[in-house]
Amino acid sequence: MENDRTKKDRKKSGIYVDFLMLLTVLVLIAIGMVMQYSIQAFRGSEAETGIIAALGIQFIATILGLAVMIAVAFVPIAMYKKVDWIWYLIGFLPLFLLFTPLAKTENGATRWLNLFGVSVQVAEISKIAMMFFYATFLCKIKLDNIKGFLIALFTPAPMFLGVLLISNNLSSAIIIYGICVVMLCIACPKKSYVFGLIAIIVLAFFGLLGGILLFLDPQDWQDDFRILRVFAWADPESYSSGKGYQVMQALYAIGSGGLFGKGIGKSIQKLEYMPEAENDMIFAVLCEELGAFGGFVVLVLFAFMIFRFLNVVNHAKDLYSALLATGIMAHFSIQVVLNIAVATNLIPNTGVSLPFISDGGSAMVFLLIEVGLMMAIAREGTKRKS
Amino acid sequence: MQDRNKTRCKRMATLYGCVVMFLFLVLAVRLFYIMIIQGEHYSEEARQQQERERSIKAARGKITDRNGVVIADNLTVCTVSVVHNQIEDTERVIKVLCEELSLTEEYVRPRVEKRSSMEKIRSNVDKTIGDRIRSYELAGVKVDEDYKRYYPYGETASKILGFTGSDNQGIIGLEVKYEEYLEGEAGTILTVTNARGEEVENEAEHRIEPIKGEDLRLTLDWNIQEYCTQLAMLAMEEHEADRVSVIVMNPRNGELYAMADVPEFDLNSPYDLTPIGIEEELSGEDYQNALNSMWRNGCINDTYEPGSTFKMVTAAAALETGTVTPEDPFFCPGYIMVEDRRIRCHDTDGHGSETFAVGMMNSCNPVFISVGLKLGVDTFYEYFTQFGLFQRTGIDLPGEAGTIMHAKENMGPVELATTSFGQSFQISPIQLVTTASMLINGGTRVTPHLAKETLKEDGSISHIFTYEETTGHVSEETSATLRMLLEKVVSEGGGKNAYIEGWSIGGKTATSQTLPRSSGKYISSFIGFSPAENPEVIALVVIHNPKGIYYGSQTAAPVVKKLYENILPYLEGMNYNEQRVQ
Repeated sequence: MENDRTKKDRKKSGIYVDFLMLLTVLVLIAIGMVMQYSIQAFRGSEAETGIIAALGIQFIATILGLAVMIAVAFVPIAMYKKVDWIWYLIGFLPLFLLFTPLAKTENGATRWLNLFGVSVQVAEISKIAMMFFYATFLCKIKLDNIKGFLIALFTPAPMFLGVLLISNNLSSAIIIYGICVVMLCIACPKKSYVFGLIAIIVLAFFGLLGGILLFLDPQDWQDDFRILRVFAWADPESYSSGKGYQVMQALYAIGSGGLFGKGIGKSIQKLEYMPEAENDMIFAVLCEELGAFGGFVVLVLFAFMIFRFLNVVNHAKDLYSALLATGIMAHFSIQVVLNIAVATNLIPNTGVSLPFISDGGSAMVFLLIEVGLMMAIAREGTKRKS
Repeated sequence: MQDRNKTRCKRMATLYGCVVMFLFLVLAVRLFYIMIIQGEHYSEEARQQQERERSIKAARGKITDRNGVVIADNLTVCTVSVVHNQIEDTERVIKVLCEELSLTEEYVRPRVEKRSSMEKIRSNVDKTIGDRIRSYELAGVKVDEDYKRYYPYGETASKILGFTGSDNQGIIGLEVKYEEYLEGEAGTILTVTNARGEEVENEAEHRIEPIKGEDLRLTLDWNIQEYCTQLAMLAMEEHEADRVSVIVMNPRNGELYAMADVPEFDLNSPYDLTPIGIEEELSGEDYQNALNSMWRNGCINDTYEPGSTFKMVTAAAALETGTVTPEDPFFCPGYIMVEDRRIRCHDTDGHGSETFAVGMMNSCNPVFISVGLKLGVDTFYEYFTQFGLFQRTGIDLPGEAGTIMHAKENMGPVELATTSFGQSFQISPIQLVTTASMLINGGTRVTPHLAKETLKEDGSISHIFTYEETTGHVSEETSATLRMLLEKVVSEGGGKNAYIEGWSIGGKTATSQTLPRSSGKYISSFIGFSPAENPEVIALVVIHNPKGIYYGSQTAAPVVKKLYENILPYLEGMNYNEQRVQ
């Protein structure tokens, strides 16, 4: 493997590019474009804006994202390290901007900023800023004692609460904390702390779900959609006209795909039966149109991409790069797993988009920035070897 | 330090990668479970949600006479509905529908503007109007074809055929009796729609074809039915009668050739009373009662006092028990004393000295009263039961009336006397025909019926109806004697108005005063069969409340004569009984 890479590098005049990773990303983007087209074709024929307008934004965002990605790939990783704790502030800044007129409300939640006519989800900025900060932070703090470990563990808490309370976005808050926990676990030299923490998280997760299901009466919690979603998760058919509706629609979509699906564009569930068909539930539409085969192919592509990311982590030139790459890998893997787990009702419903495939221009740009970072880390990692 | 950290990092990162791969595996298994194992279930549920059902009416089976003449048919009509979401020009839709369907805007507007997936505006629309509405090509207006019952002969046999309601379901008569064969099975069109109920283009419709109802072939002979109806109408006019009933049946197997009960009503507009427009003057209940009496089939739904035609029953019981022989002498002084009552003969001067056979020819009441009294209540009652007069005939029409008879313990000599010549109790006309058939066919009680068989669309027979026949109600010997006596009634006695040169006909007249006796209203009837020796057809004509001449011999008997003059040669040509033997 090592020899392989070095050979390739020489051919490429010293610049290493992980073509397999890049290819996987491009294939996923292509699949995403096809799925978006399939959905927007119906929307476009209905709405005034038309297909081109709806797809155009996504397309421009992708091109822009790819350009930024290439640029980022050439920026030395050490640059980011220099910004240090300022990243934490950068992560918080957009949250406070939500209190300004720049804020934009959609579906009753104020999570977006309107920057020069482009709407950006603030949590996207917070996520990436947090990764930069936390990687630097973990390089500096001593994690071999419980005090340092706990400080490190609770450092992301204010950011978590900020995203949760200010932008009212539990899923992004969980993803941010999740990324940090993965980075912490990898950085920490004491395995006992790591496994202790994982055990606590797993127990807390199941304890919380179990506790809600066993001890709460859904009648008392009619106003708390998060609690109700847990009940709807346990028994979606009973809640199919309320909180269980979306996930039942997703199950109908996935279930009616069969082995090879109904064919591209043939999804019926996307025809307004399933809310967020172009976004959180895109995987269900994909399964309906492309079948189990298509679903498995996408799963394998993501798995392969994460495998390539792991390779980058393992060949990073220093701890900082390795941690940053870990954060990015964690980000992608958590989002993919959560998104598909929600669509298949393995976990209670929470809005997480599927990287590269879900609709959303700003998300696409930020995802491609992260890929650019990966490429930069990979480039530096192999450069050192050669 | 850096390197050690990095090695540790690598190990942990690889461990994390393994965890992620494991989670992917869980997702893959879950996906497999949903798509492959539960796929059927979810796709079925999804389809139910996505498809909109529209039912397609099944064509109702036709009703034909025994020779295949179609007497209840289907017309193609249209149902006009609107699909709210597809309407583009609401005002134009309302305007066109108002004009074409001659409906008011107050009626149409709320239906067009109602937010429902499909709203029916009007059903049973003429096909030409439906086609015209379709030619406007208005978005959101649907014209679906369906069927409406149509009776090409209008009034003929209305009371036995019955008619259908707005959903093509049978309401009265054979239409309701044979509903299960005639109705067929409605089909459905399943259209895939989006969540707003709009049809999805290029999606295949699932169509479950309707199954046409089976055709019903009757025992009726339409020529005879139409002729009977005409005769009944003529008799009703001639005698200014309230009602005339005619039943023509094959006494050997109970096949009804005709059953008319005029005035009939128009099957194509069964809710119109005569005179037209009178509906509006009636209250709801009165209107319903008027309809019910218009639809009532006097041949089976009503009872009457059979009068002298019933003398054949008394005679049969007496002959069977040996109480009397045709040669037994009787004397009629014009009346007979039963206890303290003096019961008059219709010939008040008296028939004088006569044999039983002549008493039958004269329809002499004292003779039959004497015979009845001689039989006694117990024997008379026993034979009344044995002849099946207490049972309903089992005819395949709804609402057959039962017999109204004295309770045995209340039957004194006077009741027995009046019953002997057919008064003071009531039976339905069909009961009389059935019982008479039994008496003259050698003792087999047949079930009178109209339905012969059902046929599939390709004309093949799918179901042959069979009816109960019980034998031995009267001996062949008694039956033969009775046939002989009744033949004499027509050839030499009171029934000579039914006599036709060259044909042997047996029969009996009757004239009975209706209750209350002082009303001066009569029911005149004649029952006749032919050939007398071996009857192949039996006919009963009952004239209700004739004005002027009211004797059965002069009102009803000529009707049967006219009927037989025409149908006997016809029946001979048709050879129905021979066909049956084959």
